[in-house]
Amino acid sequence: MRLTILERGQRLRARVAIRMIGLISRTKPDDIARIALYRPGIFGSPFMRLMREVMRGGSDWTVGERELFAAFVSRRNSCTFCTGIHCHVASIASGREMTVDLLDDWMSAPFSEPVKATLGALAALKDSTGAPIPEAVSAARHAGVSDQALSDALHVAFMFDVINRLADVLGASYEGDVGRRLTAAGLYRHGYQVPSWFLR
Amino acid sequence: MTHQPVEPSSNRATRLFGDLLEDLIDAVVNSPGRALAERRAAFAAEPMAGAPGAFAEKVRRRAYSVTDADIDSLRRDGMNEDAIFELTIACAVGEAYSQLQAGLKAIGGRP
Repeated sequence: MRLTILERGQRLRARVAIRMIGLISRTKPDDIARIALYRPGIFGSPFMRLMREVMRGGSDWTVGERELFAAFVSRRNSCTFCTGIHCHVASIASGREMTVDLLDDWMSAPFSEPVKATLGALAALKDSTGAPIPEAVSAARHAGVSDQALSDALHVAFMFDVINRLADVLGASYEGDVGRRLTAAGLYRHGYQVPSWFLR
Repeated sequence: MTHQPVEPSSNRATRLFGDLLEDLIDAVVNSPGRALAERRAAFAAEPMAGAPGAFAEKVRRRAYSVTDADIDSLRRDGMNEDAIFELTIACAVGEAYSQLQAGLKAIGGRP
């Protein structure tokens, strides 16, 4: 990572957590966990509470759909690290292989109409190449997406608008494709749950 | 430091998200640290001079293009690693929050 404090400046309980994450995932510990565990009162503790609720709490969207939104936003933000990981989490959660090609060609991908319409709304919000925002929101509503479900998707986008930037700026990485898949599998199994003691 | 509060909603999930989001933003803009003034400015996307300003703009708009040289320029400007960490977090959360507000506004919810 680009800051040595994240590699060698962690306090004892964070080092214990990082070690455990590595053992559980059987690969290099997730660099996002290093970021969340460093001085957690300033960011990681409240962020991980919100993360758990947005990605795994009650929602009209399945875990796989939320992970697809995460991968989609990451791709739009050109974050290779998060796109790679969350494509694979989405694959595991949905039982269907998710690829970058499907994310790029989302309009003709075999996603449900509500998912496609919501991707359209996220795309419109992210850049100017999508349909204008009011039309995209209207299309999502027409596809049966409730405003609450749209809000839930926007909160997924929020989480990854944050994480993508942190990953790219602070230099998050995984150990090749095997490391990517193992990290993703660990995230899927543990659902962003970090015991609160580690984040105090 | 104040920010636009997340309006209460009648919906349980949005209300819960709102409470947790408030906690996050409060931590980012009010926790003690090495670079509190820079953090507040970065969260609010206020103009900042010199290397921190250039860095903040890059994190907001093209984080994928940040390199070691960008971090080195902050070090040369006198920022230590804790200050750089804080500045990065504030830029990321501030930009994401701004985009979330725009999205919630588009669906008719108050940001």
